[in-house]
Amino acid sequence: MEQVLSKLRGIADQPYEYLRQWKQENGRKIIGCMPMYVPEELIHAAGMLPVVLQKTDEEIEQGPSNVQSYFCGIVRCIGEMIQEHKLDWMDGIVSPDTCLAIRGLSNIARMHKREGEYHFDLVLPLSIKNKAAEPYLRAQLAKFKATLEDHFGVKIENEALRRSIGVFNENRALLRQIYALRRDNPALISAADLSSVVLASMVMPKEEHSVLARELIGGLQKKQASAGDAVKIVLSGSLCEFPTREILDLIEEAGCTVVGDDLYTGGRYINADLATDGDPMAAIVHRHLNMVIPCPTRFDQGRDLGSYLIDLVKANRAEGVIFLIVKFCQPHDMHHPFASDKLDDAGIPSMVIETEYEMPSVGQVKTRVQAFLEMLRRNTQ
Amino acid sequence: MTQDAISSLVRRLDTAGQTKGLMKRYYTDLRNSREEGKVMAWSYGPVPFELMRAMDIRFAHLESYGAYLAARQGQAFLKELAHRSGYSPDICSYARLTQGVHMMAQSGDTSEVRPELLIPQPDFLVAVTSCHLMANTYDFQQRQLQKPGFCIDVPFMNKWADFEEAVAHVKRQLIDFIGFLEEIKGHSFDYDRLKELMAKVKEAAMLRAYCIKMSQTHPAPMTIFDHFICLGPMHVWRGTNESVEFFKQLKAEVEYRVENKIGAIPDEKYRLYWDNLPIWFKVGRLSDKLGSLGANLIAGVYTHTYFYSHEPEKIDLDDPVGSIARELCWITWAFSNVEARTERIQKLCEDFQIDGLVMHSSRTCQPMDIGQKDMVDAIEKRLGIPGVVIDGDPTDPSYYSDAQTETRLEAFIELLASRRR
Amino acid sequence: MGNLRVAGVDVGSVSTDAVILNENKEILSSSVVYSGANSQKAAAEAFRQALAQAGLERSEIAYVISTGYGRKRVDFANESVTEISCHAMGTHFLFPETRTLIDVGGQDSKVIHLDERGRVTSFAMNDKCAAGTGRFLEVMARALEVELEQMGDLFFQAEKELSVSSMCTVFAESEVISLISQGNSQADIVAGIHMSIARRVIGLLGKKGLVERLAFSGGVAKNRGALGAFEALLKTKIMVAEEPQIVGALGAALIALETCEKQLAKTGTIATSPA
Repeated sequence: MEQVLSKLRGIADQPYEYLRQWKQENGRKIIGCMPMYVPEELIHAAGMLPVVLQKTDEEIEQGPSNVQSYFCGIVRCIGEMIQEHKLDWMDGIVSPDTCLAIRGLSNIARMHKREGEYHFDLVLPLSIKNKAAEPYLRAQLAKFKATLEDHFGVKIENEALRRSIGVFNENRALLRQIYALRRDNPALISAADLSSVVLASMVMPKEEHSVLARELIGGLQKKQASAGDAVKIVLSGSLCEFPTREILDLIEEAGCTVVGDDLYTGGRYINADLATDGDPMAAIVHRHLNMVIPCPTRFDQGRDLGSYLIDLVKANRAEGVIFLIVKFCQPHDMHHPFASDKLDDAGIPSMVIETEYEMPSVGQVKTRVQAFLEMLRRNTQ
Repeated sequence: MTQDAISSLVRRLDTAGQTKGLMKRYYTDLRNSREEGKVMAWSYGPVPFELMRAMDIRFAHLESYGAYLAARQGQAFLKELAHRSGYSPDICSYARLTQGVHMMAQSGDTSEVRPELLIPQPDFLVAVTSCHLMANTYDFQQRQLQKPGFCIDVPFMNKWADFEEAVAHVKRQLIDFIGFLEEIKGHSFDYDRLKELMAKVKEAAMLRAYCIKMSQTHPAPMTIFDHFICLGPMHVWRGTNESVEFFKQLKAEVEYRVENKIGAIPDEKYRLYWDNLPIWFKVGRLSDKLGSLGANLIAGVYTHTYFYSHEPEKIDLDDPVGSIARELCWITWAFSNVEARTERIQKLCEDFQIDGLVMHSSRTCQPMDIGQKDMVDAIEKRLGIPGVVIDGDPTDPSYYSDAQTETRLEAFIELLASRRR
Repeated sequence: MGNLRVAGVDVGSVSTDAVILNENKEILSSSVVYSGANSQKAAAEAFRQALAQAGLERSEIAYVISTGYGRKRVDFANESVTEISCHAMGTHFLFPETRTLIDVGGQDSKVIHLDERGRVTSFAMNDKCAAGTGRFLEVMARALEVELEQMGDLFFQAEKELSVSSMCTVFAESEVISLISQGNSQADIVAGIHMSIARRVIGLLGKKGLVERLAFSGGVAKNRGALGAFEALLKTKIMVAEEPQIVGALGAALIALETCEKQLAKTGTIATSPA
């Protein structure tokens, strides 16, 4: 099991290295998807590998830039990689309508991409309970499908799409299984490791990842471990930009154990199954307009994130919530106060950790987490 | 040069001074909504005021209101309230001011604000997603206030080919919104009234477009700061007789200046372009500062592309809802595609004989920031016109330094001067 | 059980303090030393001084809790607890009516809400940015060419409050310089500076807001002007300890006492991890 984890960690830590090598060995096409919510199943059905673009830990150059320093780290990082042609070996980029920063980044992708490289702006409705959203999204998805077909000279049949949906659903189900094991015994796998497992799935072919996931599940089921009296915590936040292993380790080292999350590189990604009966394109539309986890980048979505988190805390028997907010992520910044108010009303303690791309002293973060845990513990004694 | 001497340099337009009275009336009307039995809405983003005006619904535009209040009562307390509610200082400054307004109302403690500046709670809320951040504010406040809300989704467009589809989508939603308004008011929508309103919007917009065009002369009769100040009549007042009257007067005053070769600044040596939103709290000071250096900021994307600036003669009075949808989509298009923005800057530079670009890089207002470097480089390449970047923010002075900005502008003017020798 | 003695050691970035308590919560001794570059050494020295003052040996101290920025490096401590919990406890001991504590130190600022037992119910911190900390005041004092100690008195001489709005300490410095060149009085500028720092910190009060009563700790507590600004904005009277510096160590010692009492009640002994 350690071998499997080590392999997945390696892929999660160095996704681009892995992908370059994979492309060389397989000769197949890779489409980079900016976070979040690109229907990767469509790309898979076209015979290509969809990957969710990740940040690297390389230093971003300061100075006059098309992406100013007050944008979130992942947008700056991807922006820099594109401008320096470090992603030219990919065959295309899809820019979804996630937020104003990702929208701006789409310009960079379009203007600086390699000649002949595929680029598509996927407009996903923001106001998802709006009556007009459904027909509009259907039209956008049809466009997306058509441009993939035209550019790459393939035909995406419904049967192929159904098969891809099956592959993706299966992988997500396996990840959910790991999450369930973790919920019942959080000492089985660290938050950092589980994050790497999900991240690897965003980068690898799902079929291969599922094989490794099964092995991992087998190992976890046999493992003996106990979390003792570590405080049980749910993590919330970190939308496009995944929390580093360092932060996750630090949180758990401070004396808690993560039992659940709604991270994009976590809960959101694994709870995105598509219906397998009926029209597969309609299933994709339905998924977006009925998001399982309310998202700070969508509006008028009915259910609110706070209520969802209360349920998540209860389902995972957690004691508190730690919000991981990426600095300069305005959607999350603006959305979490309502969620934390709801948690307050329900008597569930929460705290915020603001994560930065160029993370300064982590000691301060550790102090905050410790103080939070001290508060939790002493107030229950 | 003393501050007073600098202030007397720029010739303020008489007509511009009228906006004060108009805005005061507007807020008075808002405040009296309850007593006068009017339905009142809180709106966020580039909302279709025309539709609400046609239903005799009063509307507060929250961003403007936040900025308006901040200008009169200081913004520190509003920002503090927003901070306390959980909004970090990195968030859009308009949103923070707006949130501060809401939190103040929620707390019931309005002692920091003069009563005549307060506005009532809304009957419903409406937002347009062109600005995600204001839509987020709408989302939060609507949940807390638990009043009916409607969110119009204007799609992101990066290809001109997507434009018509977007217009159709927005038009469909505007019709749904009209249905929403009908339910709120309990009577059907008055399309005739809307047509009347749109005729006035068109007339005012054409007058305004003419005034804008007049700055193509040398010396230019207006500065962009005048345009900023004169937005109110084309914003919350559009569709009214007052709006038409205002722009008729403005046109007359501008024509007089052009006929008599009276420039906005006495000694116009350099003509500049302004990118991005204004730095509202420095409009006067920057106008004076640049005037003292012989520089006139003549054209800018915000004033020359939004507010029905683009081809107002094509507003179709037989399809008012479609026209509004078109304008909403145009606004989003105007800040989306960087190549198109560069084209527009180029056209403005050519039409207005621009000597240099002033790129306002705004700390918390994100949409127009990404790609500024590419735009400057492209214009320099195509037209040989240089640019300078200044750091600022539409409404938050914490992110602005007089010293830093004015030094850069001075240095930029020196650069322009040296190119002429 | 008689003669139960505990100690708290607060290793801050500038000073390190130690407090020794007996089971009746009486302070037997306290000490303050400069932290210097070596926090371990400073902690050991502060403890040594406190022991000497109290006439005690190390072995007579049942439990030691370390707190502060360098708390993890105190090898003779049985446990480390954050300064948030310790400051709350210490302040509660000195002022039992405290429900809100504002701490503005050299490098960070905190707002802590506590209950009637001195336990933390919520907290917020600003530890990334100089504005809203003592560092901000140092920079401004330099720009104004006044001593830090004078700043407080100047505040009360102000005739009007000038706005110093910059978020960034560097920007604020240039803002202050330009206010000086415009001929504004030092007192008025100082008022603006203090109000600015107070506003930044007050933002941390969060939704709970101010719950009376309010206590203040941290280095900036010695600045009457800063207190004046907070009192003006919050319309309240602030309580400040006579010796604000030892509040953290005192709190740590009190928590050590609590820990011992709980353990004694549970098991009859005190479990000390290798010290």
